[in-house]
Amino acid sequence: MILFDHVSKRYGPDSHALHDISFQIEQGEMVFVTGRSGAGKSTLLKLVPLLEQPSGGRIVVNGQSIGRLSRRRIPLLRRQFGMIFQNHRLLNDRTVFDNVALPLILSGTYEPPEISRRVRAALDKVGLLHKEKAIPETLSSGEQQRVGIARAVVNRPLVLLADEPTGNLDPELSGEIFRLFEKFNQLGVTVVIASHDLTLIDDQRHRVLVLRGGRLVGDSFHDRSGPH
Amino acid sequence: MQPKQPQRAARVLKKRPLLRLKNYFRHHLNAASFSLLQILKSPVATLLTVATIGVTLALPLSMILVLSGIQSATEQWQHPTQVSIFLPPETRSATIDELTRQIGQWEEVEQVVHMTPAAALEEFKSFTGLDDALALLDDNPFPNVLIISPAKRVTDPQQAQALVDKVAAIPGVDKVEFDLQWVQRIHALVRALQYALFVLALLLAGAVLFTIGNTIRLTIHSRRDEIELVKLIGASDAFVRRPFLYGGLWYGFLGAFFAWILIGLIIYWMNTPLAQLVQLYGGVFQVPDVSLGYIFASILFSIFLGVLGAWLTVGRHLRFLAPR
Repeated sequence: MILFDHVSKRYGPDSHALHDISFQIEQGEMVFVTGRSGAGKSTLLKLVPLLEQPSGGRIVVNGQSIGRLSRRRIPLLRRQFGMIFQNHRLLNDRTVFDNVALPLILSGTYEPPEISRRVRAALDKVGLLHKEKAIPETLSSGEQQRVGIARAVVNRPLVLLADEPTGNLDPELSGEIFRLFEKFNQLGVTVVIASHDLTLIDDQRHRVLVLRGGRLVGDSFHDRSGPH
Repeated sequence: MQPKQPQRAARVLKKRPLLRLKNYFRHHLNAASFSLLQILKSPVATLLTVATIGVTLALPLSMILVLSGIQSATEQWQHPTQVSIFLPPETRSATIDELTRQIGQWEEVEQVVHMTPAAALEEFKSFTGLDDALALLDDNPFPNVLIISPAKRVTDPQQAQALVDKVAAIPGVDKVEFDLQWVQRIHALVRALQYALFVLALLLAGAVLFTIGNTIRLTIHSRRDEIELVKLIGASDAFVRRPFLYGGLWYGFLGAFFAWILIGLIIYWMNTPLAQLVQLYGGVFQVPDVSLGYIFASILFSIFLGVLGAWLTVGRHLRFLAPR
């Protein structure tokens, strides 16, 4: 599904964000990427949809090596992922419905009735069907994050990438959000979550990749060889 | 909600090309209406931009119309273009009549008038008042003269010179006089105005391009977050570019519309003073009727400038708007 083969990322001659990272994530796995701030969690996640280009090594997604992908094909790669961000990144001049429908509209493959059906199904999954006409800024932080999740899953991606999805939420809401991720994972979606929230990770029985100083220092079930 | 397989989606698309085409046009329609709504959301800013474009376009468009009117008026100025043929004193009346008839049948000639020596003498007396001095002369010094008025289509110096050469080649013609210099001056003036107008139109088209480009640039900056987001979730450059191109189209269209309102006012104000000026020179000035084709072509050109300005601006900025 996702293969990192000796991947590095440098932002300058003296700035190594990631160094010689190798791992493989199979389809249907739920994986946490953890580490201190600056360990390289976000950078690792950004490399998968080519938001950043690797400086070295090879990244394979769904059997396709993405290192030399042309500019025209990058949008097609990104449509395979659902992305969730810490700061939600919703458009406040559109309704919740329009925000969630965005990935379907830009794919150009669905008719309006189908878009409507899928958007409502996604909102129902996150428990926000009654808020479809609301403007995002009128929602609570937890509700906005759930709208972000609905937008990420509406196109039924193979992989969900979540970068600090609970960074702005209290523990109770964070637990709710993780349960949503688990629900999608149970449906077969591969989920990769970058988070420094160890208490939450401890509660989950899933694989954990631990980064320290841009290096992969732990990759196992409940292995916390790189404590904060 | 099972995750889809990308290969299966690709197979579906291949079997449903019509669906993709429908959605393509639907997105164009949405982009066009969305960009128009965005423009109308800021009426004051939009009005300023549209007025700038309108004034810029109105200048060359109205000058073209005025120039057309001046060209028509110059064609009416006949006196300076008259050709005078002086015949030898011994030329017989029959020969003069035959010459008058022959030249009168040329298609480049409007009219031929025979001024006899007696008529010329009377005219000279009335202009100069030298009756007593002329009475001392034994003979009438004035020759027979044929005064040729060229046809209206003989407008440029080359055509006029061709007529003069043709007349001079007639056997028995003593001398031909023609004020070519005046025609050359008028013609050169009109040509110079045409070139100046062309250069001005180019410069003003550039100004329209920059105005629309700058407006689009500001719009891109204000929607930077949205652009980065949609690129992040898989929008192609064409998807991102589309609403801005339609923005350029709308500005071009509205600018041309504003320009024609201004032109209507300009023509209304300038028609009377220009007509009076030309009338003093014995001509008739009127701004030619504006054809629908001319209006349509100018609107199309303005739309082209709008889309081009937007294209150049978006292309430049899209490369720097990488999703973060």
